[in-house]
Amino acid sequence: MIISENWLREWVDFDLDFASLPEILTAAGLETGVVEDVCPIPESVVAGRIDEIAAHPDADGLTLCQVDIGAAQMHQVVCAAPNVRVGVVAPFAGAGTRLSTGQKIKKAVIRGQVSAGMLCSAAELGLEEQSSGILALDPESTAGNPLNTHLQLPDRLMEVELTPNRGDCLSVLGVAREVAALTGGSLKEPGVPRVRAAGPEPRAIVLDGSGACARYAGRTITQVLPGARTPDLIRERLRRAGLRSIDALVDITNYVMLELGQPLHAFDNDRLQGDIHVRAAKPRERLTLLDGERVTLDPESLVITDRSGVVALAGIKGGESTMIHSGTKAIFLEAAFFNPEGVARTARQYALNTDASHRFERGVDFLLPAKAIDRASALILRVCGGTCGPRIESVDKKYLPKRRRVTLRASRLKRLLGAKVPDRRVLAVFSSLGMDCQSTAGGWQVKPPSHRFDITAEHDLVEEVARIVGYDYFPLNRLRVVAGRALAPEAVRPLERAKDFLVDKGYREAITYSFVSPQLQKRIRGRQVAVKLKNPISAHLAEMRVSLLPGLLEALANNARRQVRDVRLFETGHVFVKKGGQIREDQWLGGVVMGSTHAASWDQGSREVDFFDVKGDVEGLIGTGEAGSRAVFAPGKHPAYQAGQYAGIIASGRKIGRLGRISETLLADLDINGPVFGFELDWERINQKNIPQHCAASRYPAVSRDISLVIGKDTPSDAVRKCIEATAHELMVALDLIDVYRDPAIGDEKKSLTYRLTLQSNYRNLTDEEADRVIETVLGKIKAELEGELRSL
Amino acid sequence: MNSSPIADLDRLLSEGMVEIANAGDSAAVEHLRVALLGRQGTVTAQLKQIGVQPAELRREFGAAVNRIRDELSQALTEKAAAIAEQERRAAVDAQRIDVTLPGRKRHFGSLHPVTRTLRRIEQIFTRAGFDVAYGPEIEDDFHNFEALNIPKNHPARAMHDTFYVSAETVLRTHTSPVQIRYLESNAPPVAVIAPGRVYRCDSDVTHTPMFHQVEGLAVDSDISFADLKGVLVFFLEEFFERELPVRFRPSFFPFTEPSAEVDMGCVFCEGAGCRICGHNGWIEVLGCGMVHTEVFRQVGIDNELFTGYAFGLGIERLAMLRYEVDDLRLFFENEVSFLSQFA
Repeated sequence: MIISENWLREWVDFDLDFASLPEILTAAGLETGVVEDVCPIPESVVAGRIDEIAAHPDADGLTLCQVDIGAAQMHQVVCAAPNVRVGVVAPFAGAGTRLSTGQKIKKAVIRGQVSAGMLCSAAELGLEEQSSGILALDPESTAGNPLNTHLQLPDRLMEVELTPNRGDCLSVLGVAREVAALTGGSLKEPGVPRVRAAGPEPRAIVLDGSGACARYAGRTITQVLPGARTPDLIRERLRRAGLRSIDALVDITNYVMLELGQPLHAFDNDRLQGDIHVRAAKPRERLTLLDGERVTLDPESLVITDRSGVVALAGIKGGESTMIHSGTKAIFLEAAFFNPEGVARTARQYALNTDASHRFERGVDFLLPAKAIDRASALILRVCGGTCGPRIESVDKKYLPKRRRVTLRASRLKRLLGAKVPDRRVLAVFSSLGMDCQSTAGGWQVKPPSHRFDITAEHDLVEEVARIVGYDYFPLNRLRVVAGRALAPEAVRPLERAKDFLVDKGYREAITYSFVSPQLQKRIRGRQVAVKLKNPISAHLAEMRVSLLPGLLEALANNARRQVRDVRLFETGHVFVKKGGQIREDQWLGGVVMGSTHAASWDQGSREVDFFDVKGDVEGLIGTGEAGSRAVFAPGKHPAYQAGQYAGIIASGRKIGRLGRISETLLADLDINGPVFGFELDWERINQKNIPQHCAASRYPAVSRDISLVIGKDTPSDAVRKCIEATAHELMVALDLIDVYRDPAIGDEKKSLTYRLTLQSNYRNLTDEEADRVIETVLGKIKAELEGELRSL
Repeated sequence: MNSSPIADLDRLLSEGMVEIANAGDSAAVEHLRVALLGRQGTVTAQLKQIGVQPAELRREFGAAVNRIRDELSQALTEKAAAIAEQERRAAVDAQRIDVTLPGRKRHFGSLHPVTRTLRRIEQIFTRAGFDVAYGPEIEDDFHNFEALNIPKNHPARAMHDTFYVSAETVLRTHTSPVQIRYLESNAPPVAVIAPGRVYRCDSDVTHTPMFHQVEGLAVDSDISFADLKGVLVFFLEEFFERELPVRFRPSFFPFTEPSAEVDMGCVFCEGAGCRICGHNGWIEVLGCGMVHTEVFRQVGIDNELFTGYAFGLGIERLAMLRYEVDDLRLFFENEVSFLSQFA
């Protein structure tokens, strides 16, 4: 809401400079921007009446205007504007004037004719961005009157940003009330001249009794002058408030709305047939709005109808069939109180946000319609002439908002705010806000005025006291430390630990959007069903991620495009999967790696990252926790990964993650020149760990034996490990795979695996014979189960 | 020439001394030790001659032989030590390296500035005893709106540009629903913060469709607006590691009343006015207020027994102020050139 100083001062007397208001209003909850000057017009620009016109004798398209500026002599102006007419009053800039555009006016001779100055357009005066022709002023303006006086300049503006609870301030009157309360100023209501009503109003107003409209006031004004022009001051005030001038009748309804806060609608009376009914729309009823948009209505929408059908969407927008136009000779003015929720619902449903709906949604003073009709009628009579009918009104009293007394306890006020506010100040706050306040034994009883829709309970009064007294009034309590009662369990690994681990391993943490491209995700999600957004911000961010890979791969691609070769990224966050009508949301941890294992340096070359580098990181993440000790990397297939270099990670029969080389076709689509390895881990399934239980270390020496086994090349090493573990004596305390070897000498279909078994007893020194026995048992089992032989050297 | 046995001994000593001095390595020294003092050594041979000397010479001869044995023995020991030291030095010298060569490289990682900022926030509040709670990001209408006193057709809904999954399911527009979830399962007194991702259907230079918030909530029998002011000033001063002017100004949130926006003195211009603070010396950092009675009613907390405060702050906003990041969008582009600055 943009407020003009001059207009505001018509409504409130206050002793302060206008420039001090933003701070005062902001401190009271009406966030107000800095004061700005309305672009001033040079003092020497005056109203000039064109008394005579003649064509320029030596130039086509130029006219010679004799301009009266209230001086003894006429001033001749050579003018090219197409809209010069005898009797038109326009801004005249005499020689020596410097316009805001920088142009300096000089006396000139144009094709042999003297031009004493210039008749200005609105743009030349800085009043409009663009304009054509000279600015025609009110025809009855006094010639020679400085334009600044005529347009009430200088003026200053401030923009008040209103929170949704303060619809009462969406008008000059509303802001004036607040200024009066905050500055100790006094509100003054300019008198509205009484209009003389002639004749009876033949039209009836019928409310449907649903409560959607509790009051509807109207008036017919006939014999208005078609196409009357909007007075300069009204036009100018609308402009300063950010509204465009349309025609006199619409401008006046807008003007009254800005001034009082009551939205008004003017119907063309000659197109309105019979009585007005305010009712819910019938199924499939249609309405063409005044901007040409067609809407199909539903029974939730409140409409205004006449005999012909629906003529307006109540409180939101009028219809095309009854809108006023340049030939309108009679109007029917509407001012009503519509239920805020109903208007909000309907406006939302049709995605319409109008100045009217904006106000009705927030609550418009239900005592205002009559006053607004009178104010608009008086202006219309002055500007357009015409004859007023009586003001008529239909009221559904039981649905008018009630203003009940609200109790405020002094104890509650102190308890909530942390300091006592003296009784006198509390009373002063309520009286300054126009609230009827009675003191009671323990506090006050307060009745809010009809324009306040946000005072219904005790807290609302606490807020009013706090904001008017000022938040600085209340002390600042030192922070009280509360007993923390939620230390994370020791058996749960903190996610932050995993992040630190990866950072130390050279990964950078990324944060990508939770919504991803459906096209990309389709390549990755397999049979998982993604959650789709109804109103995505763009087509490539249209569904929720089922995996961290799409975001991470896009981030990787983004870096690759910028020639960054070594990229290791990880992310933690929720993934979303639809399953049987339910949405599952889980915390995952994922990473992607591309490039070298380490930077090349003076004594070591760099090497491309491979599967086992990343597997090592994943094993580190899984750690020695519950999942880690039982995790199995099972070869398998996944659409995002390359077959043969992919493992599903499984613990206790449940999938806890994935690891592998990202498929080449997927990388090609993303313009990534691989190879890239990725991993994804279901964090809740890997973050459990054992609380350590100490057992005494053996005091006897360990014996280690290396065995090299020759075995079929496709036998997974895991099978060999399991076989050894199952067979080896309880004396085996460690088993390490220390070499994998392939060579034609041992056969193309074979490989050699070298394991180191570490044996140790808690009770005694082991003998060589004991160690040999363990190895023999192991070898026997390997031979029987896996057809593995001891490699002969 | 008539040589006396004593003079022979002196010659033996001086010749021995020269040989010792000329010995080049520890082997030569050892060889000399054997040649002079070994069982067959020349000095040892002279020792055996003591008994055969005439009686009048025996004493003098014996003393001289013992003296030169001692002198040669000491010289040998010293020489051996000197050579050992020399050889040790040579060996160390051979191991000399260019310590200015760079160390072996590995890749360095980094935490995202949002995480970095959040960790500081969490530390400040958990040190004061606040619990940390989380909630779902796909949220139902009840928790995101209704329970927070934002009914269906309330104009406050227009303050949130909501992403919809279905008519009743949304991407949470704020972390405030975690307040409700926490109060549904924890009886007061409580003090909790809830960090996480939030979503608004809005994207331009100063808005991203996803960002992070931290919600704070404290409920106890006598929590007041003065406590709220205290906790937030404490937080801001801890976070920025300095004293700061802080301003509370009335505002509106459906789930708090009274409500406030909190501004802090601009850390860039010290309040003088600059581009970052919009030339007014203040930077808006968070919203807060006393928990609305309707919120307590929704979760079944007696408004007469308990009061509480709530606040919400934007993590990116604090990160931008703390690390002088001037473009919000950088947080989600994940370029290594950006991320690596937060190592």
